Amino acid sequence: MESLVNLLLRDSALFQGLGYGLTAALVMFVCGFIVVNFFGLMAGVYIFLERKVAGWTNSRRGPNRVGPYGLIQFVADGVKLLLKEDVIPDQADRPFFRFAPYPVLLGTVLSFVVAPFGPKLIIGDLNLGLFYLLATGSFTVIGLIMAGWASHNKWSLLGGMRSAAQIVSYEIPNALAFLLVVLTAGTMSVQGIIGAQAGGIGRWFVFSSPFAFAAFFIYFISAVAEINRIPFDIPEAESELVSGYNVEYSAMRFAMFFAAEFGNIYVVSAAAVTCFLGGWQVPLTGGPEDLAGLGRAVGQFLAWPVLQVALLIGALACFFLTWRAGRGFALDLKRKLPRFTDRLVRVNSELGLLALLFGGTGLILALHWPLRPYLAGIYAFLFVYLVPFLVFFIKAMAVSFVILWWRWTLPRLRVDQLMGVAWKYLIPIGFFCLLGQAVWLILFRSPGTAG
Amino acid sequence: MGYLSNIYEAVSTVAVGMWITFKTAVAERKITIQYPSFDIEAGRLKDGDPAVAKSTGFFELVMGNNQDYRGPLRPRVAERYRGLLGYDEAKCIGCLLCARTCPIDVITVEGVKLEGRQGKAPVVFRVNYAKCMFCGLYVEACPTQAVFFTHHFEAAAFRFPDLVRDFIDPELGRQRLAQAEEAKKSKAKEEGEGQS
Amino acid sequence: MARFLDYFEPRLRQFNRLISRNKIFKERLWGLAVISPELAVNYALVGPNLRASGIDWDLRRDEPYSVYPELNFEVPVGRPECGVVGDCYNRYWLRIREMEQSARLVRQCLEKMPEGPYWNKSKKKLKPPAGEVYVRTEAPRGELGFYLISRGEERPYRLKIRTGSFSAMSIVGKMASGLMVADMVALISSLDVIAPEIDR
Repeated sequence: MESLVNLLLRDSALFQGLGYGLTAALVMFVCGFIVVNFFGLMAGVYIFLERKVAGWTNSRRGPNRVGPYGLIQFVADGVKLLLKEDVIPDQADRPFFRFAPYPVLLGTVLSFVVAPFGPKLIIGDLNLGLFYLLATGSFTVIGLIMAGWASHNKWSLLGGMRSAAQIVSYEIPNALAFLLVVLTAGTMSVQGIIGAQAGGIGRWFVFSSPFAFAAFFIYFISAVAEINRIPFDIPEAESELVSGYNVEYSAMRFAMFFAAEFGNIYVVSAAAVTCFLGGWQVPLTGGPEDLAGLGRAVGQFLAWPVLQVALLIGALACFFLTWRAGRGFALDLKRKLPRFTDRLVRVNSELGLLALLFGGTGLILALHWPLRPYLAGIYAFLFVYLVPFLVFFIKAMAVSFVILWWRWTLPRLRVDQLMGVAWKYLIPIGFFCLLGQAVWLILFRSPGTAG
Repeated sequence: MGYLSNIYEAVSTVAVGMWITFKTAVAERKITIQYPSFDIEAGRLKDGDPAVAKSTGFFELVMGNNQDYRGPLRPRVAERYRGLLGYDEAKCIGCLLCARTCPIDVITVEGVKLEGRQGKAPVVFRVNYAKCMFCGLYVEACPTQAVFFTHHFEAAAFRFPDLVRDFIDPELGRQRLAQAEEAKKSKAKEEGEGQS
Repeated sequence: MARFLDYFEPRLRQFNRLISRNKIFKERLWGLAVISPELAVNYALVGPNLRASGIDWDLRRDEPYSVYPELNFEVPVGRPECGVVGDCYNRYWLRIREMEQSARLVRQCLEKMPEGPYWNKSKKKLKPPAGEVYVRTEAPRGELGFYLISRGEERPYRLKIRTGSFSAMSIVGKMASGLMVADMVALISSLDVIAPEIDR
């Protein structure tokens, strides 16, 4: 199916005459740029969300002073980590110490290549999509072992070894769950799997059979273990190993471990949503064609004169709210500005944010008037590309909210119990589900359905 | 069968735990005190602080995120709170009981005898907050209730010397010393005259 | 104070529901570091550690002092339903029960407290008669004992403070053999050994 890489290479009117090498390099650069930026953004969002959710589950508010509602907190964290002193222990193994964060980071960033956002919104639709996800997941292990060894610290070594053992053993239930999905869908390509779940909530793989339902939980548990989150975070447990394999790391190197962990939360929840929860399939529609039709219908509906008037009134209301919020923000700014050198000054930036939001909405509503004739086309485009994107995001955020939630609910598993869960419970049940799903498909899937 | 009951127990207790934390996250009142904006001594947000800016009247619902403490307990400094030392110079008689009672020798007092004042007049009253442990023994020891605890607690400083506080203006101390010197001289003169 | 208790008791129940029956939690603590009653007595454990091993001994009830005879409370003891008698889970469970009992005691005290000044005007310098004395009370970690020898002067000749953590510390070494690193955390915190308190 389509993907960004194909898009760039096909519409190569830009690239004609540039030759193969240069074209390839440009495409790689663009895709890499998008991937790394998105990863950074996601890591930042999760850092912020984690602290907010942590606060809420502890009956307190998370960070809310740094920007409007604390949204710029992750920027502040990043800047702080950048400015810290980079300490390398005296007896540490320098080349390995320096190199160790990079495989960990790579493992995460590379997985974004197959992260699907919409019908054609994917960087590269490999036909080995799920297998690629598994492979990049194991990339992290070598980095962790290097980090544990190179720190020249018994506790880091212990943490690194345990982490490696944990990740390697939890890859098996992970793979078993993926195998089940591949069996049901018939393809390893990510877009293919999502395509096989088209047609409403009932077609999601998680509901296709009780075995798949169990496999969803098996996948979820093994994914949480893969990314070293509670209840499986012995390698980085604060009270037991003083942060395990990354204890000797400071500043930017630590930031890389940190960001990789949070980016991994996104990758893992995106994979769960893709495989089991229907990916970007919007619940009540059957696929991109349905969405396009819906979009056109909505566009034509909105071009109706009565609704145009209603939209204009809405735009006016938004502008009024913008004015009120903006005025409040500006008054506040004026009052505080002379004291701007005061370290504790805090402007009511939420009002500024609200002003921006209302202004944007007002602008969008107002634009409906001049764009009357094109509304059908615009809405078709939006419905085909934007709505699945939002749906995917909401689903992935819901799954990752559960991962963040678990952190504050469950105590840690001891290392041998952790391994016990993997080898004694998840793997046998995983095999059982796989066989059960195969039997189920033979019995209940009519031949010739979704290849 | 232990196998299956283990699984069941694991799933059910995890689910119960998740429900409790979810309820806390969503339905509990948040107990954050927005400290620098919050005047703990008065128990409410400081006036003129952006968190209470009057211009937000229109957006109360949305701005509610940053407003008052909503927990069940009173976010106020307690009555008997042991804040920084308070000193009433008029009542002090310079008996040095507080300095003697202090287990860490935080207080330095010096007094001179002056006319028109019961006991001695304090010339120096110095407290070293770096060593003080706020035990309160000196408050009990003082016979005239000249020392007490205040509700202030924001005493952090950047330099050590800033933590030593003189309660008596040095000017006043010098004046009193001078007065005492004069009084001694005049008394000595009187006695000298009286004798001879 | 009463408002705090009103806030505290439902909270305690909520935390109890959250953690105490959690499977993962039980896996970590059940049957860990079992201290049999004989071992507990031989190593001179006190307080909750002793009661969790099945021995029913509480200074507040057995050697009452100050206002305890007038107060109404139960003494929780380790039970086989909450893990092997003498293991970490029993110690944990016992402490939760003790928290509930404390809340009850505080409420009774609040009701019974007479009016009047609360500060005891004691003399500045005390001169106890010569001799030695050992006084013990029941602190949250066990028996808090003060051993004082005086020769009739203002300063004591010898003062030793013996805390519950001191007694519990000795058994950590014995119990720790054969445990995993992660279990050490569970062991030390269930025995409630607080390092600064060991050597008062």
